[in-house]
Amino acid sequence: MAELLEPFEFDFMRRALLAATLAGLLTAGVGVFVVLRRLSYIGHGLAHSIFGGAVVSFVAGINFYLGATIWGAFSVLLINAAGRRRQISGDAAIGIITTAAFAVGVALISRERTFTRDFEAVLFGEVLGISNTDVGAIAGTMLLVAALLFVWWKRLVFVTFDRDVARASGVPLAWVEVVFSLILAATVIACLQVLGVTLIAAALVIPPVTARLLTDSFPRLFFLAALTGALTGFLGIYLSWFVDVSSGATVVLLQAAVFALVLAVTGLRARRRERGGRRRAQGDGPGDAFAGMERSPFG
Amino acid sequence: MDRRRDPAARLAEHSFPRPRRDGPPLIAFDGVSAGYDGAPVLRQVDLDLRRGEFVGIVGPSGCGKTTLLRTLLGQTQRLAGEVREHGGESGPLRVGYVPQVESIDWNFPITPEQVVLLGRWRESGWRPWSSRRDRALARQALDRLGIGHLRDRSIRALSGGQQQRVFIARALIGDPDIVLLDEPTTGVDIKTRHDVMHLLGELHRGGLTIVLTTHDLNAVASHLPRLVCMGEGRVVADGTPPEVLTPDVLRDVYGAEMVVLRRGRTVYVVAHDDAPLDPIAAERRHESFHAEPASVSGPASRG
Repeated sequence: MAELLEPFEFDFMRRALLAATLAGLLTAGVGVFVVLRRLSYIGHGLAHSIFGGAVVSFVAGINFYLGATIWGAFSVLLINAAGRRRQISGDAAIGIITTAAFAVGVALISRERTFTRDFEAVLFGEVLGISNTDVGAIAGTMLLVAALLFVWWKRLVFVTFDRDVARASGVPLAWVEVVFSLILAATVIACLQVLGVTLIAAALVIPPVTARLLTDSFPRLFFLAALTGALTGFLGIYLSWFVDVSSGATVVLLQAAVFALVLAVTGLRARRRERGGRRRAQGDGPGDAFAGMERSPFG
Repeated sequence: MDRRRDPAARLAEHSFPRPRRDGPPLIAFDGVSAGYDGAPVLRQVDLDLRRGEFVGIVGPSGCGKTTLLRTLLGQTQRLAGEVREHGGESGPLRVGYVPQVESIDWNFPITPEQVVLLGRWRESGWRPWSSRRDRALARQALDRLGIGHLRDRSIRALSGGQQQRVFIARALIGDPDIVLLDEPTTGVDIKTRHDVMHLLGELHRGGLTIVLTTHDLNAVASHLPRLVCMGEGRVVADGTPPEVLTPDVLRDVYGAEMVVLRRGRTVYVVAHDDAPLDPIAAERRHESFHAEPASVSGPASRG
């Protein structure tokens, strides 16, 4: 028993557990909009782009969070603007802009070989070395994102569901895009230290897709995704203590395992419903005819 | 002939009242050219839409029908001319828009009531939830369109006609001066098309101004009070169906010969390849559609 509570005895682990729980909750909540906008790949691209922003901030001597957030939000806006051109598809826009922004970082690193900052942490995450300031940054970002989502919820949902009608109904599309870009960039940057560039895309996408398999209601989807993100964040770090595997990778592998489990269970349920429907159609008696009626979409 | 068994008579029952063209135009296009990325799709369009009208925009694919609607919504780049809007006493013109059902992501996790409530986003202010009054209004709008009992279902679980009604309800909840519908009968079955057109007829009789685009000349366009026919971004003809759906206009915009059968205000268009060359035979062939001999015009009759 004492062994199970061992991780909580250490300051750095308590900080890591708190940071991963908050990061899981934040990425999953924001990820709902990312997935429904069919921008699942943007997390991956944006994380790379922000790596460029991190290097530029370091070279320019400005605050990492501020510089990288501006860089990231600007990248998202550019992706949106380029993707609206008829000749450029959304995934092509992500591919061009985020790799170019990443390349800026690589170019600067190759010129300045005197860097002392550990960019490996940015690439792969280093949650165990997280400071109180980093935890504060994640918590602050989460409060900011929660406030923005609260106030802009209807506008964001409207634009995500039906962009044309939202615009026709007077929703300020340009502002919605700016707010969404800021939310996404701030989320990626705040969680970079926990998950790293390479794993953040998964944390944005897996919990919302898992939750989507379980519900058809938008508010429920949001809460289920956030809950999955927070729980897997916490459990992932906790488990990583025992299995001695990279903490970011453990979080993402746990999320993938939960997704696989939900996929299998919902798949089995759907197959059983299908079989029941087929049997009813073949007239297998009243017992079967009534079975599963509550689950019917029109029941 | 028994009207219940006569398709033409049944179709004629769907016809809407004659256009009401009194008062100043709600929207006036004055030499408007508009398009995307600097390239014009609409060219020198003059058009006025008045309160209480029910207008169908017809023409071949790519002729600018949807761009015309988008220009009415202010969603295109205006390159020349002027669009004048005259809202009522309540302020600027309120436009309701019903998009093509093909443009919707049906996997989006949302219920009909939540879709309709999006139409009240402005009224709900900064709150993410809807007020009791807005929810009551949404239920009222769904009840009015006969789908109140489906309000909590997933939008995906609804039939094509029910989904179309949800979007019309969302357009109506904003109390619009005019409702624009982009291809409301495309991709739906014959029963849904019938239901949607009847519903629009009822709303029009209730005083709503409606503009829709359609590809369906026979089952939709020919029963509307006013048609605007477009070709290559220009307005080629504007008037009642018998005035607009003529062999000359159709040849001009579709680049193909068409046979037009007429009975009073009911018009039936047949592509020349599908029609017998002899108009008398055409008349016999379509006898079941007409209680009395129909007038037939087309390439063969001109010859």
